[in-house]
Amino acid sequence: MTRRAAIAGVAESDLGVTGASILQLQSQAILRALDDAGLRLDDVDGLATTGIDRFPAVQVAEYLGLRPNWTDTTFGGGSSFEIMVGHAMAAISHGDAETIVVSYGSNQRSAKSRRLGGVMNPNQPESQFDAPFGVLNPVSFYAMAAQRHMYDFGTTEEQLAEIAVAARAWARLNPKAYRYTAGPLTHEEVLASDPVSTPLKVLDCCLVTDGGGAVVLTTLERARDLRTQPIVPLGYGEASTHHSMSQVPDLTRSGAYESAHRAFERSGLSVADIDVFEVYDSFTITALLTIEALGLCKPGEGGGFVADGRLRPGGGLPFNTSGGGLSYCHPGMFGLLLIIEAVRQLRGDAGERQVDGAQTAVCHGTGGILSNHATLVLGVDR
Amino acid sequence: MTRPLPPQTPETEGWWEATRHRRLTVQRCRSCDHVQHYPRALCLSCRSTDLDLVDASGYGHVRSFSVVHRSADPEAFDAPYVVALVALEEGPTLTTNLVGADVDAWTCDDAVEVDWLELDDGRHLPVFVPTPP
Repeated sequence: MTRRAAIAGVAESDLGVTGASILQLQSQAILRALDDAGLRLDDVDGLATTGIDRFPAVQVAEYLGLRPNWTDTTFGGGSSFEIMVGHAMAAISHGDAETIVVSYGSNQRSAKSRRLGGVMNPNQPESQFDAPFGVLNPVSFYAMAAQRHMYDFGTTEEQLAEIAVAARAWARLNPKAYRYTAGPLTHEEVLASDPVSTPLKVLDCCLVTDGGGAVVLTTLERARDLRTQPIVPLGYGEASTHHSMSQVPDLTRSGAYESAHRAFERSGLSVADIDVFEVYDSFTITALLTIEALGLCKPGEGGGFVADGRLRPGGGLPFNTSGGGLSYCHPGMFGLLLIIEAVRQLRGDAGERQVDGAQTAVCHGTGGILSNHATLVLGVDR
Repeated sequence: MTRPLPPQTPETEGWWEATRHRRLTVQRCRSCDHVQHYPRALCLSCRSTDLDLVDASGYGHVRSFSVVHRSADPEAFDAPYVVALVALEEGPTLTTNLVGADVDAWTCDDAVEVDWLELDDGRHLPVFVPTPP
């Protein structure tokens, strides 16, 4: 019988403005997630991480005194962690590793390492064919996707603003959210915020914070003997379409359609079976496009779909229940925090923001400029 | 305003050299006639490695655009300015700037034609202006 993997532990590092190093944040997150599972560092034989310039998993293993027999340093931007969980599922099922930690840490806010124009290597084609024109990478790309969506489908800036407004409402239920005490957000405030790259304004853009997290996976059999309720990855799908701005096949139809299709197919579930959605929201438009891609509404109809407030707490579609990258935390790559929130919801550990009776969740990671997509379907152990 | 000089690589050298003469080129496959941009080592359609550069007409349309209000680099780009994806008549898309009209005057699908912005080393950047009606 094939072994199955389960998520046994999750935790965030400190979030917000930490003054900590990347490796400190990694250590915090990993130790806390192992503690959550009731496991110890010595139990870990596999490590997956990214967000460190060189040899990410190897560096973190050394720092923690680990000698893993399985590592993964996939760099797919914000979707990396959904991908790593997909890889970890396979590794555990094949017997390549018993207990795998997927981790991340970033001190980008404290270190002021974010650049509006983006971080480029001279060898990548964007350095020749995108950067010379002053595009903000990634903001201008998402702005152009939003512009095209508005032109083709009549989507409005106010409909996009609703995604930020809903995220703030959830964040106000999450004590760990950066905007927990910030008060509610209104459409007027989003629309009046300073333009960055039209039509996207400051409040259409995710936070820039420090933060990190870790997810511990082990065999389902072992997870059943541990301290927490096992959460089972049921399906996983990935799709990569482009890296440079000019190479995008379709500005409003992303690879999320394909990754979601693959994940649903493998899980045996459909979008209608899902209780909680944790969807990458680097920008309001990112979430809108992914709502369409997941099949929550028809292509092009995302604006009207969100406009009635259904994404807000109590609105009927539990969506980005942590407050998302827009109002909870966005440490450069957000994909791991999507998984942590989904696991908490499925365990019933989400406090004031708990979605009643949540049995299934989708985490959708988006990397780069709608470049790389990974969809993960999670469920409680039955 | 001085734009930084873009790097170039062996497979893009011909493309950049053509810009010295204000020639916009695209890469064409000698085996299947597929046209692509940016220049690379193989044809994306038939995977042939037999490719050359041919002149593009310089006409295209705006796939999308954005008015940038926070400059990527205040010493190189004076905000507000317009960035865009322009689809050439030949098919490939270029990332570029839209110039020659008010920043708020643009819409998707506008017809545009190439113009040139000279760089300090004699190469040029292709930017686009409205095509006269």
